[in-house]
Amino acid sequence: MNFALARYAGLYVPPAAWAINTQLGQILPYGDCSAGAGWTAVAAFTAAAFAAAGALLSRRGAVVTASRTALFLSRMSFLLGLCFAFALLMQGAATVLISPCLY
Amino acid sequence: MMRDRDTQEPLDVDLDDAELAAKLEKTWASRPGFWGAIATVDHKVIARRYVVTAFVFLILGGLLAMAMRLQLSRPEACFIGPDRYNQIFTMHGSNMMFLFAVPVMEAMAVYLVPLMVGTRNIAFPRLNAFSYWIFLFGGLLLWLSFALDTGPDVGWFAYVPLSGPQYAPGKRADLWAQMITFTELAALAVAVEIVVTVFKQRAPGMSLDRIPVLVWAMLVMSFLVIMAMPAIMVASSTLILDRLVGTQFYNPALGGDALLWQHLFWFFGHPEVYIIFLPAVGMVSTILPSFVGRPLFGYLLLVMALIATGVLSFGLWVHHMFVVGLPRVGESFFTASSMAIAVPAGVQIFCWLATLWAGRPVFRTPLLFVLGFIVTFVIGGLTGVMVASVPLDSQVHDTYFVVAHFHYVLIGGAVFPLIGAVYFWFPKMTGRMMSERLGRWAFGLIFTGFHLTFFPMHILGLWGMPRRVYTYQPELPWAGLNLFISLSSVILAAGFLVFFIDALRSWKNGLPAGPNPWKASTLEWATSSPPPAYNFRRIPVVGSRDPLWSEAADLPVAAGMRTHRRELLVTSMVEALPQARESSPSDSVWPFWTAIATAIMLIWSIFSPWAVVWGSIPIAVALIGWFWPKGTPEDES
Repeated sequence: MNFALARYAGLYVPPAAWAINTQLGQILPYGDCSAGAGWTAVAAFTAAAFAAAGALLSRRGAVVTASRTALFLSRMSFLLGLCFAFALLMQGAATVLISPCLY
Repeated sequence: MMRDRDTQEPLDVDLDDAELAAKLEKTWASRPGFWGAIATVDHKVIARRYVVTAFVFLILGGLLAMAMRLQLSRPEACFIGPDRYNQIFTMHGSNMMFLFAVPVMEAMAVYLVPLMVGTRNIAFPRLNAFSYWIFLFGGLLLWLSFALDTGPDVGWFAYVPLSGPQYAPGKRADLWAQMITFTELAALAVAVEIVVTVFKQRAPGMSLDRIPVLVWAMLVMSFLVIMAMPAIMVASSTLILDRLVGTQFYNPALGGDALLWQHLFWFFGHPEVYIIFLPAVGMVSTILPSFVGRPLFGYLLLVMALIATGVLSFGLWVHHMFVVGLPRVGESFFTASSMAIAVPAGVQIFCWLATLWAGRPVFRTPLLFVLGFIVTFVIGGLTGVMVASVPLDSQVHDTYFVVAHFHYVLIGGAVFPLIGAVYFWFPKMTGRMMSERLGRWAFGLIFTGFHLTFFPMHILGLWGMPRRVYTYQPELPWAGLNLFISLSSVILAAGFLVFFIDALRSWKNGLPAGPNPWKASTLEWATSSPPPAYNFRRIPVVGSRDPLWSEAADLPVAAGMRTHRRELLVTSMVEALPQARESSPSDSVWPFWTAIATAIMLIWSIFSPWAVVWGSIPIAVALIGWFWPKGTPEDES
């Protein structure tokens, strides 16, 4: 992976994972209810893992040799990624607590 | 002496300050007179018009609010009939959101961003002029329809099927929908200008980690506008198509979907809250350091919070639709995001508190409004977390609890900082100070009046009073609180009256401000008050986040700019390294004519679909006039 892309992974991987999972949350519960499966939960926790990985990639980009602006962007990407990982963990918790058959 | 290769005109480096100022004034100033005023593309002039127009709409919307409070002050009052009441609450909401809150925040961006990034004009200045005229015409359309008793009566969100052809005959809903098109077109134009100005016109040295927080806030807000506004434009256009042409986008009986409207509306509507709030975050973050005498605490955290809030705002819209019957797990995802957004909001609050804690606060009027904002917004945020929960929201949905919540968030979260910002930047805009004594009165009345007016609405909501009712029966237990709220709203109105009197009085008779009356740190204070047409005699070079504090005595400047044409410095996106000298368009009346042609087409299209065909011809003619080369130095790239 391109180094700059990896450094700023926290800027785009966690938001993308969150956006995709938010959409899946509107689609998967119907299938989960009829099949008795737990794909909504799997999707949510997988997305949370992706978000955390994106954040950590950004953290790894914050090396001492990076320029001041690059360091700023790396650190900001890391924190942003954590924020979305938290949002996804909350979504994951919801899938554990609430029945997909509930309307 | 260094001269321009083509014209042999001297470059700025060889002119002394007085000569340079005279040459720049000649190049950048607008022509005097009526047509000069119509043609101007000076971002400051257009922003001032935008701000004044938006505040006029605020006054009109406030008068409507007072009319509603009069009607609700006692049970079964007969001041206003149900039809007029429907128009009034629709006008109040639509006016405040589309004609005041968003435009005034964008207007502040139009004024401040070019100055804060150290450039001489906004990007696409003619588009900026076009944007103002379109906004004005959209506002006039709405208010003229109301004056003629054909104002929209479908609520500010115009839910179908009530706004569809079956339940809303006549043209009221169409007028609302087309007003949306006007104002969103204007907002999108400004958003594009802000994005380009921030990314490509920053002063050399203003790398991404040195951009003022207000500029970051306006940048994120602009992206939100670009992402969110098309949804409502699609919604309003398809509504007009359903009503005029007979399409069935929102008719379930023929394959349409009424819920599609709610999704489209709230996909725009919730980010809209942050379109209004994020600029306020920027304002607070800029005002605070000037009154505590130290740099902002947690710059990195605040920028992260702005971006996180901006993105998360697109995952909250379903919390406006918790009672429509979506799967509970799906709804809970929006609850999760709604609660997660409290994290960046909390980060912002703690950064401001830390800045206050570590500094030495001087309690001038702008800081008072900032403190009022923090208190009020925290209360609004807490009730926001409450209504983000499905069980609670299901209970208080469409009650006055929600009315109280969103007024806390919108007035507390945006209007308080905005008024603080007006007190803060008024000296820059006019060269004169506002009155400190009247400012304290205004703050006291607005803060007290606001809480006395809106806090009891939480209780009214918990007691079951629904929104949008024009009256209620005497046996219901709401009369006492409603009378108290109506009386309190007079205090709030008195506060705004004092503020407007102060602004009008100070405009002509305020004490002279000087370039930097607050000893602030950002670049807009490096030029005179009010700034000249060219903003900066020489383009500043930035070496820190607070350039006027770290390099106040000798701010470095860039040299080598042409003076015979309007010229800007284009810089790189990340590090703001100089890349090119680019011309900035000269004044033109064509944006005005284009706006008139567009307005005619849009209004005509309420009545006939053929307006889109025939109305496009004058627009095309006006656009050709707009872009036709005029033989001016600015034509050269």
